Amino acid sequence: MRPVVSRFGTGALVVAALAVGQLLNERLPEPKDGSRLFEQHVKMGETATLRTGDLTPRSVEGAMRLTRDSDDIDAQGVGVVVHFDFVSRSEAQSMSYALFRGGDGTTARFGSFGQRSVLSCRGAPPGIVAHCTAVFDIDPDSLAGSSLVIAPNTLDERFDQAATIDLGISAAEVKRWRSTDELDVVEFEIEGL
Amino acid sequence: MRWLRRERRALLLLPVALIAVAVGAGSRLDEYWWDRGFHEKAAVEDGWAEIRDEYDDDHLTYPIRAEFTVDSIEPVPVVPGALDSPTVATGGQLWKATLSWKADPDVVLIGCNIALMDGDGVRYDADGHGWDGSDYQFNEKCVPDATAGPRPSLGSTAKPRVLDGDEPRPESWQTTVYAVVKAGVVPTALRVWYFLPRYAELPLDAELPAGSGDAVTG
Repeated sequence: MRPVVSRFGTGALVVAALAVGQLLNERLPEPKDGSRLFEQHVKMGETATLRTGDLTPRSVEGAMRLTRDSDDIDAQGVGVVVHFDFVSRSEAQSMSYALFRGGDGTTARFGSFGQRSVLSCRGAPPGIVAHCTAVFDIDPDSLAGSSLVIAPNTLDERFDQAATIDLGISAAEVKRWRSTDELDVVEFEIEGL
Repeated sequence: MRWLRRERRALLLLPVALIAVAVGAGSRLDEYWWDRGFHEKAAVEDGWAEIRDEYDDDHLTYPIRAEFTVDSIEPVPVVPGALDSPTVATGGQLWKATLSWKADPDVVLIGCNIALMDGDGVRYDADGHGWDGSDYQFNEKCVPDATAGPRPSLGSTAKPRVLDGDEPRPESWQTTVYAVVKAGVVPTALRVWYFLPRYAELPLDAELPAGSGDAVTG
């Protein structure tokens, strides 16, 4: 009788272990969720205190044509410029990841030079203010309730902190931007240079 | 109790298996942490630091060997508007360090990085950012521009060599580097590195410019 009990006990343990494994598998976040950025939400004028430095969104403006040193953008939707300051903390740090989240669910990733959505924020020495911009051409209907996520690395293995800027764009602003022909954009500069 | 006795071999092996799993996963520490930070500090003797590193891209390998010391470290006066005065970012102070070097002329030494460190571990790279340094950011920091010594050809596995027409590098030489440090902060060490995790660091005996706290800044 005892071997039967023993086999039954072992079987029960195996089934229990499988059940626990299945439960963990269901409850643990998907890799894309588990490795998501730690977002700090800020409004214009507020400062996000990130591991890499302090990020302060300053203003947002727009027009149908954005003129830049590198090239010009003739917007298909509306051209938008988000100005923000970044002060590196322990070493010069560039910001190289940005994601636009539209109020209507639209998302748009930012590329590098030559693309229509460009983040310009090269690393300045720690303690020095870098004036940065995120420039993009976007469907005007997505701007109400939109936000912009900004983080140091495109490929992030440390699950770093990101600033999520509430752009606070109103319908009246979008209307004004659509009737503004041109806006000159200084993409990046270090304060005092 | 009988179960414990019967399974004792497996139970004894369980901690061994757990340790093996931990050691196996530990390779990630090497890849994601050790190799990506400043973890192997070079030896320092009589004020000279000895850099020992290696370039290895699986196709081309060469050793990096040199010794250096810091001759001087001083803040660079900035006179706003003066023609011969550099422009420095607001809130920054430009510092100038002079280094002496010794190395075999056949050793490749291009591509190094230099930074000033403060007492809190903040790193200010001597890369030409934060001030108007014209071509400085593209210059070599550890070898003389005119006699840089042997260099590899981009994309080639050929043995590094001195460019045609260039003189060989001398056995000893000096370089000057500049870095913008936050105003009011005194650099306490100078760091040199080629490939992480190896680096060399020497302490500095620097002082703020006269009259600062309100340091002379751009």
